[in-house]
Amino acid sequence: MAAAGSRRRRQSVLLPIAVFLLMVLAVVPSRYLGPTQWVADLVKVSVAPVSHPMRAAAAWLRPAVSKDDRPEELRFLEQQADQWETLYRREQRENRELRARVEELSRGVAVNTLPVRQVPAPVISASSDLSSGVLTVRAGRGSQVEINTVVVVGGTQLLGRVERVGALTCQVRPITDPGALAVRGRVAIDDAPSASARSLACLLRPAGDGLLVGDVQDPAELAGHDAALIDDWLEVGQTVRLDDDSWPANAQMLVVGVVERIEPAPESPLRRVITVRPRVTLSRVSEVVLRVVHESDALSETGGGP
Amino acid sequence: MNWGVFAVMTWLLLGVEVGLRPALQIGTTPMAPSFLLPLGVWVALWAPKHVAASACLILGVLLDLTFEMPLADRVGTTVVLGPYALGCLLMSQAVIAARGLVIKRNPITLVVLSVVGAMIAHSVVAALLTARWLMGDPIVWEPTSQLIARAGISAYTAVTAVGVSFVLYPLHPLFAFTSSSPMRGFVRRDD
Repeated sequence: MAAAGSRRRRQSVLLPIAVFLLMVLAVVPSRYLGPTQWVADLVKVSVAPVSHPMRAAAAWLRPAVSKDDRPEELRFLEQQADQWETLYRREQRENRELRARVEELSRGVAVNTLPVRQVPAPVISASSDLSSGVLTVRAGRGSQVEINTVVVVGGTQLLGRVERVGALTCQVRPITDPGALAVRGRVAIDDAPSASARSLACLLRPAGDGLLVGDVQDPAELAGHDAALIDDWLEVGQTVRLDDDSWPANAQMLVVGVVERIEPAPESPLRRVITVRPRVTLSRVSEVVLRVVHESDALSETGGGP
Repeated sequence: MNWGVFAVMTWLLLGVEVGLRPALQIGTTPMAPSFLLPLGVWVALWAPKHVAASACLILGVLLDLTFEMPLADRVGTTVVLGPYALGCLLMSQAVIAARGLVIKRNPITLVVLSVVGAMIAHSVVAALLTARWLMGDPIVWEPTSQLIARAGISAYTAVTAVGVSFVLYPLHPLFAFTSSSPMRGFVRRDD
C-alpha cells in the first residue's frame, strides 16, 4: 500500500518534469538535437525485426513498379540497354569535363575518379509520419556509407542520396520528397545515344505527389538550333537523366524519370514545363543499392596506396 | 497494467506502423492510418490515469523518434522530440475525461475515440511544428496542407482501430488493468 503510494507520488513528480522537458525539446532548434538522432537509430534498429517483414509485405501489396506484362527476356534486355546508355552518357559527360579541365590538370589538380562499390540493402522502415518521405535503409557506417552516398533502384533509377548515417542504418531522402532539393536534369531527345545526340537541360522540383515538375531549356538557346521549335523536340515518354554538379560524379546520367506531361509555362507561354515520373514509386521501394565510394580502392588503383 | 504486454504490443504495432503504413497510403498523399494511436486510446480507456498518461507519453516519444523530418534547402534530417509525445499525452487526457461517459467494452468506442484522439494528437503535432517553423527552424513544413492531411489521417485511423480492436479486446485480461472490471467478450451483457 505504502509502496504504491510512493510510486504514485514519484510519478506525479516525474510526469510534469517530462512534460516540461518535452515542451522545451519541441521548440529547440534542430542543430541542438543531435543526441535524439542516436536514440532514434536505436529505436529503428530494435523495431526492424517487425518493420522489415512489414515493409516487404507492403511492397508485395502495393509494388513500387507497375505491373509489366512484357516477356522477362525483353525486360532484361531493356534493363541492360538502359545500363549501357547510362554508362555511355556518363562517359560522354566525363569526356566533356576532362577536356575543360586540361588546364587545371596542368596546374596539378587531380581528377576525381573514385571507384564505386554497389551495396544492396533493404529498406527497413519509412517515417512514422508520412509527411516525411525519408526512408531508413539497413546499411550504415560499417558499410562505408557516408552522407551524400547515391542510392539507386533497379540499376539506373536514381532514388536519392543519404542524408544521415548511423552505425547500422542510414536515412535516404528520395528526390520526389517535398523537401528535397531541386535537381538539374537533361531530357534525352534522341533515343539512341550518339556523339550528336540532342538533349535539353531542365530544373526539376518535387511536386509533392511523387512527381517532379520544372522548366525545360528552349532549343532556340542552343548553338546551331536557332530556328528549332520546342514542340518538335519534346515528347511524352522521353527519358530525363541527372546532370547536376551538386551531386556526386557517380550519380551523373542516372535516370530521374520519364516525361509524363508537357505544358506551357504559366508566366511565359512560349516556354515549356515538364512533369517527370520516376520509373518506380520511390516511396514504396523495399530494396535499394547504395553506390559507395571506397577511397582505399581509389588509392590502390591510382598507385597512391601502401 | 502489465507493462510487459504493453511493451510487446508497442514493439509489434510500431513495427507495423513504420513498415506497413506506405501500403495503406491514399495515392501519393501522406494520408495513412496509425496503428499505435489506437493502442494509446485503448490504454487510456482502461488503465489508471497516471499509468495511461505515462504509457501514452512513451508511445508519443516512440512516434517522435521514428519521425525523421527533412530539412529544407540542405542535406540532412532531424528528429524532434516532443510533438507526438505531448499530442499523445493530451489524447490520453481527453480519453480519460470521456471514458466515464462511454461503453468501454464496445469496440466501436475504441474506433470513435481513436479518431477523436488522433485528431487531438495531430492538432498538437501540427501546432508545435508550425511554431518551430515560424521560429525559423529549417524544417520542411506547410501548415495548411499538413492540417488537412492530418484531419484525413485521423479519420482514416478508424480503419486500423477496427483491426487493432480485434487484437486488443481478446488480450484484455493479459493487460491486467486494475481499474477495469473483468471482460467476458467483446460486448458484455449485464442482464
